[in-house]
Amino acid sequence: MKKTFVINQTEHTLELDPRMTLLDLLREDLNLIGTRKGCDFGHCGACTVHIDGKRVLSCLKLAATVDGEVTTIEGISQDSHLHPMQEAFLVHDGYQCGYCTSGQIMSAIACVNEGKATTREDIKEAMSGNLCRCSAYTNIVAAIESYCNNHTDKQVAEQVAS
Amino acid sequence: MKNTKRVRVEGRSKVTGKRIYVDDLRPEDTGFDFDIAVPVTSRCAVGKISAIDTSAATHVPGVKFIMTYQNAPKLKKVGPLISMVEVGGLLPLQDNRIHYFGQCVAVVVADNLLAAQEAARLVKVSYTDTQTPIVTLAQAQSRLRKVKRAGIALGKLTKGDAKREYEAAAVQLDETYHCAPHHHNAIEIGTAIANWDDDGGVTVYAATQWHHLESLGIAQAFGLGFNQQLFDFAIRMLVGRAKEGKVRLNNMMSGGAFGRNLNMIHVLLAAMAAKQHGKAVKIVLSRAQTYTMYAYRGEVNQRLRVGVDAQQHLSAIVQEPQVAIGAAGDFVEPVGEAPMQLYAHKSHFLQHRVARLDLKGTGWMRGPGISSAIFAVESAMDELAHKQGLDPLEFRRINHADVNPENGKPWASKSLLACYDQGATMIGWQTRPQGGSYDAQGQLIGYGMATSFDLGRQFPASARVTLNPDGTATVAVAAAEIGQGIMSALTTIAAESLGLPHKRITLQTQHTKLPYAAGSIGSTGTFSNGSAIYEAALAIKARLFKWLVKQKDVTFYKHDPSTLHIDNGEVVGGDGQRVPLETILAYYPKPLSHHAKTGRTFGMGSKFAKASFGAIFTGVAVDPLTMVMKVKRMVGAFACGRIIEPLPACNQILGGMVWGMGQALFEETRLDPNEGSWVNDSLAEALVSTNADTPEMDMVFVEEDDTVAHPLGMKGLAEVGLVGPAPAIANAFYDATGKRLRKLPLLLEDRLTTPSDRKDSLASAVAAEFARLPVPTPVEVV
Repeated sequence: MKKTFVINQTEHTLELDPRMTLLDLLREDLNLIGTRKGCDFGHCGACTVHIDGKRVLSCLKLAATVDGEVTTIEGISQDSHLHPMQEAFLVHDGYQCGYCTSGQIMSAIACVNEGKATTREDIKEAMSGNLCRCSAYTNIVAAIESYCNNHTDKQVAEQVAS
Repeated sequence: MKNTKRVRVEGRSKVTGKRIYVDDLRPEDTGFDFDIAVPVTSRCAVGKISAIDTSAATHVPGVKFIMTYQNAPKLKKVGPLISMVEVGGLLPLQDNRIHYFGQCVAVVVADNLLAAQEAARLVKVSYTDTQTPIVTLAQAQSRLRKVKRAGIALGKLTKGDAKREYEAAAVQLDETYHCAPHHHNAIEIGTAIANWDDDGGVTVYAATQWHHLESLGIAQAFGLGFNQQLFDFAIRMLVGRAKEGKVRLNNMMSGGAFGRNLNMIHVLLAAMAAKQHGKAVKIVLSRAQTYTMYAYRGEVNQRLRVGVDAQQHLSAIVQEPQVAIGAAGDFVEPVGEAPMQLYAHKSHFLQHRVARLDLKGTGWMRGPGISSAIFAVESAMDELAHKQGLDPLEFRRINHADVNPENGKPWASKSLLACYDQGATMIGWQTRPQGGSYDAQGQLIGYGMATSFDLGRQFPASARVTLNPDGTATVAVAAAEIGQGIMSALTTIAAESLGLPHKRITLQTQHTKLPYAAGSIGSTGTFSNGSAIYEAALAIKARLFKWLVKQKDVTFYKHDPSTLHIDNGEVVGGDGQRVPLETILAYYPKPLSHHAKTGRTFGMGSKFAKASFGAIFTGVAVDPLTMVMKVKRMVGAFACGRIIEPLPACNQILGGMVWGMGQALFEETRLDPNEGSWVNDSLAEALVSTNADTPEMDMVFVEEDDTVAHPLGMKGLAEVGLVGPAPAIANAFYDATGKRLRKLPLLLEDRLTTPSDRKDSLASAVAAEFARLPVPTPVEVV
């Protein structure tokens, strides 16, 4: 089957294997390797991407069923200009091995967008679908808090929308 | 608030998703095309393969080759390997015998991932001569035997007559502590790529914690050198030889490792499949396969007897661990390594006993042995303090070891008492509420603490440092980044040792053709490899300055070379004159490079004992009826010598503390005793700590000077955060409920049913109710 996707604002028309998940499509066919595979069962969150701004576990989403614009870690920053959430993770050392980091950052942006980043407890709860086995959780929460503190609600909404 | 600490050298590539892990490699990265391989694992624990039907699998479009024991390359014996893991005793696909559930029985190669996965599901394996496996220590009592070695420590230790001292002790404790088996559960699943080169060598891409140990295993298996096995490896280690041999390993960054990424089976399988298939392959594991294709921490059950004399000093420690190991491999959790070095004591006796189970081979996991040992010892210290009416912290101070109790050597530095003070202040230990009082939410309050400990060793390492004519430096050292921040720390050590700004240092770490480096294991990597870089830098500077003072037309002519140094990329004279390094290097006649080799004595020649220490304090809230426990606060103070890179170092310690909490509350991979399989082989069911589980945490490094032992003043810190939390939480649970739990994890059913020392408490009444329930009869499995 043929299907057209909009991924990181670029249109791709592809011959699609119906068994293909969105994660495998991104990684194997489109070479967008920044989205990682940690379990392939929706347990770890490493493959989190956005579809129309909402977080989706791309390993649980059959590519054939994608209905909306997909954004991956490669789509949130251009060239040397980091997204402020990436900047916050960098400065707060919100990672160790880095394998879960793409998913954490995509989840963090959506978590703020969903209005769930009002308290530390809320952030922890909303980020609990993203496992970090190195357990950099304290720094991940600090990064998200600093992102929120450095940006007014309006700025946050603009960045998330852009 | 702007954080002014340095970010990691590879940090940008991690937050942008641009970092390349093994699974991300594409033919344009490797320079050769490859097919995709997927393993098939056994659904039987003990028996023989009677037939393998691959007919359905071979008909899946895209499938190109299926490897079983019938057509796999015959490998040469591997080992003994320093990692002591399974491949040293059992190589994959060599015959039809099955030793454990989940053993590799076939590898399917296809031109795409989906085809390989689908075909792997269609491979039908039949078994004969099957037997019920023995998979727990309780089942394996008749298999127990004494061992001489545990890990790299001794299997048996004695000091004085501990059993007699114990009998004579004023206060005695005799208890058994159990730690469940569990897995590393790194988020990276596991991939390797192999391509056979025209000269008969093999190029491998993998994520390993120790480049040269990984390549040693491959070289032995395929007869590509290292025929003298350990001897040859020792030569490489001690001479720091950069010669690569015919195994060309490219070590990619690990997406978490924690001890599992050493001499991995799937790396061998990739090379085997590529050889037989005649084309490069990339092998890809599934999450479920990580539970039997990698090592794990095996079950440990230890009887511990501790005697205390009338002056509240420890008089005897008698430790008798039973350690489970797998069907192959010789790795034994070194459970006795730490307790004998932690507190001052008069006598001790230790004997490891080991049972070989019908399971995958065990292996190294963060805090090997010590995490199980400290759970027992620190639980016992808490219990003994209560028996004597002492504050648990005070009892530990009384028994502080001023010198290393095992060998009598003075510590190069030890700031444990300061750790106790600072940790106690952070949590408010002196003013903590009475254990078992209620908080505003009606939860029982409990506080607990434990000492933590990390034996940082120096391993042999080598590094080549080159000063380039433009005033930059290249540091070649085959060190493995697994998330601990070693690349940042080694860059800093190079920058400081050479007197250059950080941005002028380029680190090369990826290939085995680079100088031999110590592995990222056992809290030793940064110190061991940093020492080599430091010494190479010293040698280069000495050579440069000696030449410089002889140059008539240069500023420093006839200066005393010992008065010169390099600062911020400029050579500085004793008189304060500064000349940019690149100006001087433009005239230096040849490449200024030095390959330094260090650590040949493993630090054992030192007249000092070396260890990192810490103190963990925790506060918990326990529901009085359901015994649901929430860790509310966890703090730690640590003394780990000089901290090179504070940002990753703090991160690693905090992450370690979360691991320790996970060990206390969740971590257990459960076995089906009939089938011998791991039941919860997924990240949904093998529970690890999530963000929401993580309490409010804080940590400090106590400043200390360890330069008496080594000019860098460093110690290990990878494990010191991890080993204290489990007993601290168990002790806090006791403080809250009066229930002493001696099994990890602290399961809810044990929390409910264990009797409470507080006879009049609600917790005690709940346990009594549970005691009245009829014991369920086990269901007979037909």
